[in-house]
Amino acid sequence: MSLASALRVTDAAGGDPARALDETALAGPHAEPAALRAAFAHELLLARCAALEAYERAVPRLLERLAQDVLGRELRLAPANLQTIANRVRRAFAAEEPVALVVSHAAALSGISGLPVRVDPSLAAEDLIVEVCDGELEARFAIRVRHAVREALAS
Amino acid sequence: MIAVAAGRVVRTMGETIVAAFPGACVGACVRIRRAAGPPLRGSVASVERGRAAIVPFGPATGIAVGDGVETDEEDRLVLGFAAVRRAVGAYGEPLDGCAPLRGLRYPVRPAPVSPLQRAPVSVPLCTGIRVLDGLLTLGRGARIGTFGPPGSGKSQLLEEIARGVVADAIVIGLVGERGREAQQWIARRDARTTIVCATSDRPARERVRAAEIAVAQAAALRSRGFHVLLVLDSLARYASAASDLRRTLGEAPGRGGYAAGVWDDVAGLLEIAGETAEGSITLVCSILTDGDDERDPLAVAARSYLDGHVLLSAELARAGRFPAIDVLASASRTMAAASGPEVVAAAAAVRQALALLAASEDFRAAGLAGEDPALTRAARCVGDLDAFRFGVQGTPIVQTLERLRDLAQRLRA
Repeated sequence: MSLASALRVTDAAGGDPARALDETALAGPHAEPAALRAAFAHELLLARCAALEAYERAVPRLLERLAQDVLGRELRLAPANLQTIANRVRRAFAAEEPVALVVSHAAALSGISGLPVRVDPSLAAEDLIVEVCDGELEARFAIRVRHAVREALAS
Repeated sequence: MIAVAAGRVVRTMGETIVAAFPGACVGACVRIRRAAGPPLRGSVASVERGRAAIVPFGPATGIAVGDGVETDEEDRLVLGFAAVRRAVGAYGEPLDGCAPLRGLRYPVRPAPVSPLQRAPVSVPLCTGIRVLDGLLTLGRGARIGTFGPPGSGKSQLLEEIARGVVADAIVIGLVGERGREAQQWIARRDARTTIVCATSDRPARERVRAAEIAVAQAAALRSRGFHVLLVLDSLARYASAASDLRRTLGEAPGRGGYAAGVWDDVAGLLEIAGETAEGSITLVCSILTDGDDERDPLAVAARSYLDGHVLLSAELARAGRFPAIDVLASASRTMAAASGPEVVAAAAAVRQALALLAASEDFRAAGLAGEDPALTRAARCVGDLDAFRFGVQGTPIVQTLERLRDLAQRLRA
């Protein structure tokens, strides 16, 4: 089957390979293979799209997991300065008036001043929550790691 | 962000949820943790000191005062390859009875295309409709509106275009459509079609979102190199739903009773179409008019945003002549760029003949047509002109252009 013949079949279907495929399918097992070849080009476009999407799904997920493992370990080895984090949260939400800080255990209280501090045993070590008038600003350890990983991946 | 904000639901107001929520900003996505049922996502529509009005991405059933609200990631949905050949609702839920979509999540509000990223319109879009391909050639990447009163065949024309168009993918956005017609679209979808649907009984936020999802799917496929036809049925119902939504948030009515911000919504939706280095989106939308376009603010605004308008005539539709396109009242601003000078000249000859015939209709009926040679030639070709304009469509563009050339030659002879 020549290319010209393949194009004729596709032309007869209004220049649309997908329709050519449908018409070829209707024609049964003796359909011209060239029409299938033309339809294959359309399927190839879809396959290329699927492959690119699969790549874009898998790579960032893998990198994020690796980065989370490494960064999480580093952050755990070097205990966070909760006072600095509290100050950064207050700067990021400057319009909000802080009411209190919530930490995981009494030992974390050291070095934090200026605001009432509450202990919530359900929090993990290194977690911090800034209570404001209208709600809370959660700067938990997991959130901070996720944020750091995202920023690193984006750059 | 070093921290995520967390607040509480304070009250609900129609389709909107009001929450005490620190650091809220308009457009931010949030997640509401319902005591009864799975978390509900939404976006912040308006803010005031310490309060945020949230439009949920789904029915607000089960929301109670005190439910937790927290900042969420950007609004994304599984689209692209996974949505090709599928019919989905406004929240990405399958409407075709198949499994839920799995794949890459694309942003629901894709970044607008800057003028520098756009490629000029230079390739004709073959629709299979002779009048469009020959006399009102649409350029690939153009934005076209089909205007007409009820019953003039707008949806039918869109369906014929979708059936005959030469494109890699077709995205159909059915906004406020009748359930019966939506079912027909879904049943007839083919290997290159995606259908996004929110029927007329769905809330305004769902109808608006269905249009946004259709646009997002078209943009996702364009970014992968597809030449996409985006069909939106209808722009009028989208504008109406967007207006309802804005008014529930307290926006005052403006021109024509529409909320003032609707024009930005409509312009933003239409502006996504166009050709880029990767692919293209050609937009064809329907706009319901009540017969007096000059007084309909949506029709006036849409004409200024679009690259062409196809007017459908109720008179032709009543006479059973489909596609009921009023050629003389329609225009394509991309025709000159997308067609060669020979086609433009031939189309001009045919349009002149149609204008002469329309102007002399009464005189000819009374036998007072006179002896104008151009009119005589046009009157001799009435049958061929009608055969070109009406009847069975789906003609390959090569045949359409041959017939057009032939008609023009006879009109000039």
